[in-house]
Amino acid sequence: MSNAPGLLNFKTIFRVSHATRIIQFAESLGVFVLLVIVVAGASILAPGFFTYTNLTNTLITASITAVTGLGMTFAIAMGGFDLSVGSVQVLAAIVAAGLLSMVEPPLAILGALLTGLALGLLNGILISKLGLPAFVVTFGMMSVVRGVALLVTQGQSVMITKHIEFGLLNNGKIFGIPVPFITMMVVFIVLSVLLRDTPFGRHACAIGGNRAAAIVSGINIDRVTIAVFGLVGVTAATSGVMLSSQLMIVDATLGIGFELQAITVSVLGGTSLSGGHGNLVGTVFAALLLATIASALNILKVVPFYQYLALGLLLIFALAIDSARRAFIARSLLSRT
Amino acid sequence: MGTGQASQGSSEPILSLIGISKQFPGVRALDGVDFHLLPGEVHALMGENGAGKSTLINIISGLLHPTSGKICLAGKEVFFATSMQAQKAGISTITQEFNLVPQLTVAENIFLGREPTGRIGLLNWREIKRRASEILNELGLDVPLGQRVGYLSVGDRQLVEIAKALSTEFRIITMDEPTAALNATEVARLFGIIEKLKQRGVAVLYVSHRLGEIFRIADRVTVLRDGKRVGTGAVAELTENDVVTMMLGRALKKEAVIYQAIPTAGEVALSVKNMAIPGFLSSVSFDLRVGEVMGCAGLVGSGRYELTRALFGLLQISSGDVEINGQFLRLATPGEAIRRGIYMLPEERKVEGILPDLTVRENLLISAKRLFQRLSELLINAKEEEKQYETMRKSLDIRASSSAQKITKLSGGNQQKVMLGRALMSESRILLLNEPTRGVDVGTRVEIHAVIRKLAQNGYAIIVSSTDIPELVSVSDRCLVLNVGRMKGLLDRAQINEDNITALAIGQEIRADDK
Repeated sequence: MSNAPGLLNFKTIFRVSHATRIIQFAESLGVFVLLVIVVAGASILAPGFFTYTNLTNTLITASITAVTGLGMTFAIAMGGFDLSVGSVQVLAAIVAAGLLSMVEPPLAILGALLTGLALGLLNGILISKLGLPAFVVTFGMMSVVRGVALLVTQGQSVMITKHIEFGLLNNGKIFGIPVPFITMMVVFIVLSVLLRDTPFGRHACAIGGNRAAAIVSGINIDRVTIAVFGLVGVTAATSGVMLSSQLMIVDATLGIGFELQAITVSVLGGTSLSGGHGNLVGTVFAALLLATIASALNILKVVPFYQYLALGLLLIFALAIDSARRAFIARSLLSRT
Repeated sequence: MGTGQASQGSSEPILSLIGISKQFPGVRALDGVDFHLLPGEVHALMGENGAGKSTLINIISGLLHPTSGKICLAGKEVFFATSMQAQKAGISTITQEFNLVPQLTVAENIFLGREPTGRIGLLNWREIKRRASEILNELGLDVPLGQRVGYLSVGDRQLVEIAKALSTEFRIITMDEPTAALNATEVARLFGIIEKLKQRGVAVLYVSHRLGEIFRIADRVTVLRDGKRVGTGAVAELTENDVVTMMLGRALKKEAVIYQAIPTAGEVALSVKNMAIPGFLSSVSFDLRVGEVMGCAGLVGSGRYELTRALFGLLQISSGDVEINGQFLRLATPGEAIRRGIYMLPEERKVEGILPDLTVRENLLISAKRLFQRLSELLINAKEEEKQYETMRKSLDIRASSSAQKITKLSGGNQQKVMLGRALMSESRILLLNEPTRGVDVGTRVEIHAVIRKLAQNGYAIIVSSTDIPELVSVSDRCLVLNVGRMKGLLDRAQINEDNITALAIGQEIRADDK
């Protein structure tokens, strides 16, 4: 019976990877269909939504969320998550803005990314070496990093006055495509390759799927954990750089609730909080969905408070779908075990 | 024992399945199966992995719904939408996975969800303790009621699971591989309980791969093959060979020829001197040579479980020397052990073995050496992996529809072959195999034993640690027997037999003329 006839008889490598890709795409199809419906609805109901300027702005907002969401997806696949991304994002934004008054833009960007990397690695080290739950460590770091951001700015705003060309990271275009979208696609491609085609990504999924088995398989759990959280830190910092180039003036109160957005887009995109696999395509679609909803609500002049409501409901909705899907899988597996 | 009074003509079936079929996408798991269970009988259900046993049990316990056919309970047609409904109707299920909460105590687990309460809804602790200790006494389980289940041995946990069932009123009990994790004493204890249940008129549906057990305990046996019922018969009228032939659809090759003496003893691959783990093991010493299979026997609590874990870096040893290929080493992690050429097959496949979200190929290659060592190979080479998978699939006869199939979709026997393949892919030459054939059908068991012997011939050094004593007799060149943390004996081939191993394991000396 193990030799399932018919449906599953793919023999060649080509067909096999083809099949997994189709399944992956189908899993993100749900959120994709939702996205199409919402975009169509917004275009009809909200005059001014389907304009070049607004679509570009929506794309930029989505890209900033997606970059961190992609990192978050990696962490969730490993069976963890990071609540400190909002604080890391804002500190990186402040570091970038501050450094721009002293050094050339590439160095400022590097400084911001290294800040994110360092904070992410610290998260990972605390989790793996002290054996603390990711929830506790990143929840604590969320407050610590926010505090550092407030201290270094003394609660003041930091305005970018030198190197105005830094703004090109936000409003620049290459072949008519907004730079933030290109940034996001680069992050997407890099993380896709990391997740699917490297031992590192496979080990992360192994840890998320069955930690005990991963240990017995010889996987260095500590090293993978530290690396994954470092990666999340870098993506949060990338979002921070994108944010500061968008606003050109940053302060330590930005990015509150950003962690919720990042987790929501991961889960809504089809990545299960139970760990074991990550759906990066879905994360990107979900980020687009979230930005579209926010934009439409703005245009319709709905009080911004409703956006929080919408975000929370979406997260709960996504979790409900996820648990229903898991129950379905558990049932269909009963036959073979 | 086989001829129970159960099959007396007067009794009507308590449970009848008529023409039951179950269709899964792409697979017909059950195909028009008729099955009748009589009150007071022990009815064994046998078949290879994937024959449909689990599906049948899941249908009876309400976890799955049949595609067609009907279920009658005491002559009345019933439909169980949920497992809760089946339980209410008097069907109790003991599964391979325990449904116990490790953080709760023995007594709390027994009454979980059905706690006796007093007038105002508070827990009635006195009642809980009284009834729990009654049940435990009946089972002969000697553990404190206040003990957390997480601290119990696997064997004791199983009995708590049975105690949980006993605390309810039931007429039918299904047991799926209940002895898989039990030692000989515990098995005897369980069989005593089954006898008692029979006398009370309970119908027992018993699934096991172990033929010997079926002939000790069962009244009738039903054999499934490829989702169809091959036959049902009284155990007293059948031989073991009849049953195996029904299961496989052909006669089994003789198992006895598997053991062949190794021509020459090789070099010492692993040398252990005075190894100790506080609370588990003390002064264990042995040399494992290239080309030999050393069995390791011992009851729960003997330190057998801890021995291989310590050699694999999962447990730290407190004193003693471990020499691997001539080097004194203290292994701190499994990763390090693999780099040094030692690999351990975990005892419980589901807990520490399979990576449920990954494919067959990914599971097979997760410990492959190059995944850890060659930094230059940053990206996974899918073609190369496919080639390695294909080689391993052929040499171990792994039956999967493709390398990209999720491992959880394979039958237990094939999952176990993937685990064995994983050990081989690690390129380790010292293999520590725990329970290599647990939950595996007779045919696969023979194949795996043959593979183990062949590996030894090809220059591997192997420890087989098992509760399955016939298995140890079948594959070992020598056999280490542990008893309460100490080496009770190291039998050589001439001394290896079930009686000697059992005697040493329970702490007796073996007879002088055997030594």
